[in-house]
Amino acid sequence: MSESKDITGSPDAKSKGNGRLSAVKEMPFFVKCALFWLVFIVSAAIYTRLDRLFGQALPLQDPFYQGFLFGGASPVEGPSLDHLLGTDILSRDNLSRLLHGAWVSLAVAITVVSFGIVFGGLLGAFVGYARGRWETLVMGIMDVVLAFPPLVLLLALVAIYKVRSLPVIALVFGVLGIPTYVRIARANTLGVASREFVQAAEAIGTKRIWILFREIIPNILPSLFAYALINAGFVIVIEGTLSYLGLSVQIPEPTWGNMINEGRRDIRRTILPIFWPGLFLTLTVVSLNMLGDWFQQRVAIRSSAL
Amino acid sequence: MGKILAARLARLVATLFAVSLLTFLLVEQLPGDPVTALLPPEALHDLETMERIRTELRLDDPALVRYGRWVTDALQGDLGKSYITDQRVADAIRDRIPVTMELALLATVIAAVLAIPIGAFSAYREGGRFDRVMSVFTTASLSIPAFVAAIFFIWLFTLKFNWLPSTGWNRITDKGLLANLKTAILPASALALAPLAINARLIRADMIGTLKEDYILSARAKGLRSRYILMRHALRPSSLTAITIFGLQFGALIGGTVVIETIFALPGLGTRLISGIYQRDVTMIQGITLFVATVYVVVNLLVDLLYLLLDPRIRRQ
Amino acid sequence: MNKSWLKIIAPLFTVALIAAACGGSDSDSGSSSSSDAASSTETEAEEETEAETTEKAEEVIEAGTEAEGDVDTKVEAVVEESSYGGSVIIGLEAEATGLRPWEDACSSPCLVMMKAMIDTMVERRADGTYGPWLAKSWSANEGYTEWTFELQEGVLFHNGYSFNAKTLVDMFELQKVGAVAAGVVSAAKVGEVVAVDNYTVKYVLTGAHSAFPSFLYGVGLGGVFEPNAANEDFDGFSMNPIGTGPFMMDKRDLDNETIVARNPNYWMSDEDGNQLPYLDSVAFRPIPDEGTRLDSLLSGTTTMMQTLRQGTIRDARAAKADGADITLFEFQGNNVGGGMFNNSIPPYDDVRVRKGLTHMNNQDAVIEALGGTGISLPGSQWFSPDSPWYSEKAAAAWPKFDFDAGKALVAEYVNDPDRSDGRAVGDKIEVELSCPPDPTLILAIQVIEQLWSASGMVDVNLTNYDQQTHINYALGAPPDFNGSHGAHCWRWSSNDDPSTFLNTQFAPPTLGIAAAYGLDGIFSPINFPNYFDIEMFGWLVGAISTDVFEERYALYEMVMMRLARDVPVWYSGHTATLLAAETNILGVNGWLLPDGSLGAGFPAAIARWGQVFIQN
Repeated sequence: MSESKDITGSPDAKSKGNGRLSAVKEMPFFVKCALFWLVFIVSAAIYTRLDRLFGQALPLQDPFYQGFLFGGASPVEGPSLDHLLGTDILSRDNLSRLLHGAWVSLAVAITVVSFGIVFGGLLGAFVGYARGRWETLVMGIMDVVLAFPPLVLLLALVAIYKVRSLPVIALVFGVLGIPTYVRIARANTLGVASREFVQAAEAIGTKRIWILFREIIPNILPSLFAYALINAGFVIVIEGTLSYLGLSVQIPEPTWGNMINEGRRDIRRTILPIFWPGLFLTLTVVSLNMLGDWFQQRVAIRSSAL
Repeated sequence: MGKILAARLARLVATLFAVSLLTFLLVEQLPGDPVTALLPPEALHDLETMERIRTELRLDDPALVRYGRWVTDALQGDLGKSYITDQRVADAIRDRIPVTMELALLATVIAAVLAIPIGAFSAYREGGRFDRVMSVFTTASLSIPAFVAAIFFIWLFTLKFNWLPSTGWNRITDKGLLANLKTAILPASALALAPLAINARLIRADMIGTLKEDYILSARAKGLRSRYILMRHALRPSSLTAITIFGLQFGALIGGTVVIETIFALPGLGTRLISGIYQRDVTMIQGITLFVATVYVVVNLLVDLLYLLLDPRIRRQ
Repeated sequence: MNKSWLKIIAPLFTVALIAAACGGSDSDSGSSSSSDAASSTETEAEEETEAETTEKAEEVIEAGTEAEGDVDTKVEAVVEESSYGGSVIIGLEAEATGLRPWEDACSSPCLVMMKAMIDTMVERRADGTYGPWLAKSWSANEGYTEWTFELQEGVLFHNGYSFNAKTLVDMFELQKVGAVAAGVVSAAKVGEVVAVDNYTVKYVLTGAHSAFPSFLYGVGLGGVFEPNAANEDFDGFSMNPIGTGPFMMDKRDLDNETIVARNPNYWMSDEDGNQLPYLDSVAFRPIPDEGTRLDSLLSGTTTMMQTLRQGTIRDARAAKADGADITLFEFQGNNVGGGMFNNSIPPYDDVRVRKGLTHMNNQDAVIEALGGTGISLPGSQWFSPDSPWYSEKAAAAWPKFDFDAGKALVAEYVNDPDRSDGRAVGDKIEVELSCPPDPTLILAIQVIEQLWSASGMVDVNLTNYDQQTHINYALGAPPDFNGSHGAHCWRWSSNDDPSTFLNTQFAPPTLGIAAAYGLDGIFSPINFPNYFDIEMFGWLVGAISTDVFEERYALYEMVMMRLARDVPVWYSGHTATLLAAETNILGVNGWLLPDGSLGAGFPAAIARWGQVFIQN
């Protein structure tokens, strides 16, 4: 199996070898479903972006078009051929809005995860290897950032500074997410740095920075990535919460959170307007968590084989 | 041990210092004239009043000076006065602590109490049907956003079955424990879902490890019953991790009740913070954020210390 | 000419701002600018019943759909026998952050609380006229510049002090500089308050005002509070107000519950001589979430509730039809939702743009999106069809929904080489449409945005700011107070005398304009639309120089016609309000004034507690 190649401990994560496809084949059924859902969401996000780029030319209902104004639909319709998941309170197509909403969640998740792995991972690896005063300083700063209840900080930032553009919101999320990645990277670096192959490299006089990039970082990437998947889910929930409170991107941009908010007042009559975005949100997070778990198990297996 | 304690305390103080400075600056940097944000709109026409207030509040002093003043006051328990409601911030916080604390505590307890049997039994019958079903359940529980769960609970228990109220808070001092629990159970349950799942998994993982240990084998060899083994021998080492986690969760929940409080209209710190944010109630936002961050940091410290105390391996060092 | 004009004129801000800008409307001499966003200061609701849905399935909404009949609950005297005892728990829209009538902004939910403890000088009758309350009677001099009031005798404050003419004089010292009252003092042009004898007081005005007593209906100027207690503990008074009202403050648990208990020395008795109030206590619970507030009533956790949202009214009606044991008290007054244009900046400074955008605004679609079809009437002026001031002529003149006509007007502007926004011929106009993040308004502006964008000539930018910022944008900064808003959500009108809100609203918006018309010093920073028409201003001034109804009616009709011609503001639907109570709670409707006349019921979902009782 693929494990036999990794005696030295360098994982698949960076090497796009034949490990990957067979890994997918090995997945339990539910994890495969999770992967499928995530692929679907990512495709939806990309598709809707392209659609916007080409001025709504691709086959998909306009998420902003209100049928009750100019004809074509009425509010809170049930599923039909034209509107596969029905319409919302303002007679806009639900399916289209759900798919367009995927983009915001995805953008924020990808930003956070990228920031985390790249900046958090680098920083954590560096302080974990270098130790000393750098470590105290950086970890102290991380403590401070982590001491803020994240929701409170985000609320304050978004509400007070009124930042409503997706890039800025994603950036804020990204920065706030770094500390945990730093912690994980550092903890893992401490472990890896005491391993024989690192000590061997040091003994023969390899430059430390070379060791950092060639030996340490590749070995901590799997845990970072495993955490990243779970973190992505968490971030998507937080973004959903913020947009539920009306503090995310500006309307009429649909997001799963603000769709839940708008649907909430119909709750006495029908739970459907909440159900669909709630379902999409939950399924996406479930998928990320399942994938993250599975990945974590593989990482554990691999590192215990060392 | 003493040295570790001293070092941790020093870090705590440094962290709090930085947190308070950041909170202060964050809110102080409101775009526009701070007095405009502080006064009710009715008073904004009167330039003389605005000047008077500006001098009274010494808002022309540099930020660091004002920060220093705020911190020294805060250390004496004075977090200033809300300019919107005229209430002392410290009083507002004091009134609302019981609600948020109880909510966080109840959620932590629910998550802990339910997680132990689930985690333990899943570990005991690893790979069995219970384990697999619970695995799905915990993943789902972990993934449903708290606010979605809350809305769903309200729909189910209030609108469909009318078993529980969906709003308001009965204080224990006013109406007794039962009435209080009726208003607390739904929000606490919504908050408990994610911690419950995390705890169950952790306990399960921990216990699986423990159950494989040799001393368990010898206990079994001695003829001890499984349940007895489970409770006395396997559970205790895991309890260390568990307590740590519970403590951390409680600390995190203190700051995480905001949306749930809003949905259930509970008079807690979260609703006050949100209305403070919407009303630009500067002092309230600063006060509550500082308070919540302090609790979080202190709880983390206490958990760390507890861990140190309880873990015999570390003590021996 | 420096800051003195600010002191005299600028406080006008308060009156119109508060009465008009945000929230519950009825003469509220306080706005809920400091209540949280969840409180429906802009109170338009959202959804639709299934029935309407299927009806309208194929049909595109036509203009001019009428609400199904008169939705107001009839105000009629109570016939049942009253009885003492009991307690009411009412769910309110929001918490009252301060209860000082002269200083704290107070809109509908706050007034429900405040009026339990604070009486006003006059009250309004069901027929719209003003009648005696703490003021027994009044008269004016020839020029309407001096108003003399005879006061009720033997009235005691909650803290034992006696209410007499000196009270009002002392109160005035605080009102003059009160954050809320100062504006009313300005608008009413009160110069001084003089005690003529122990129970007679004279208000000396600096200018004629034929409808002055209506200013003593609102709690800002007319709310009677104990001045000694106020001076002793200015801040504490906010939590514990001392008035002459039927109830006294008992317990105040902010954001949870406030309880008031019976005032054993209340000055009013019912017509049979029984001393009021009947109830032992009233408990107020702020429940910002609309759905949960209604649920609380239906499940019995509360016994009364108020709402200013159409969607909730619809739900309450449905619940009642399903058999819920509740009485519905509905009222829809003059207060109308909608918005304004900033008439001082391009492109809104051109009437073609304003009129064009208004023609493209499908009022009925907006109301339907908010769930108000059949509940809320589309607005065409500042008076509802029930109001004695309503004018059919003005209603007909209002630019109703006519998409093509609207497009044509905007096209005219877009193709005009001299267009005021300086853009090239054919370029779209840029509009910033802004509303506070009230959930219902969020739906409304998305509808309007779609309509305006569909013309192909308008670039709409949607923004939401918190309530306070929303107001600040409209207010602007000294010296001109022009504001930087574009198309801005707003509310207009109240059920008080029209002069109380129209005169300050449409006074010259800047000193420069005032000077240009020789009206030096008369300027209103709270002319938020920044619109001024000298003829209209003349009519408004004329209307407070006479008290002949027909003359005033004619003048106000001309004012409304002018608004229909120049379209500085637009309307969606009139604010529907509801008080719902368990069926055994009576006296909410049909309370009487001391002279036996029928009171105005429950405008803006404000309940008066003095004569409420629980039937056994």
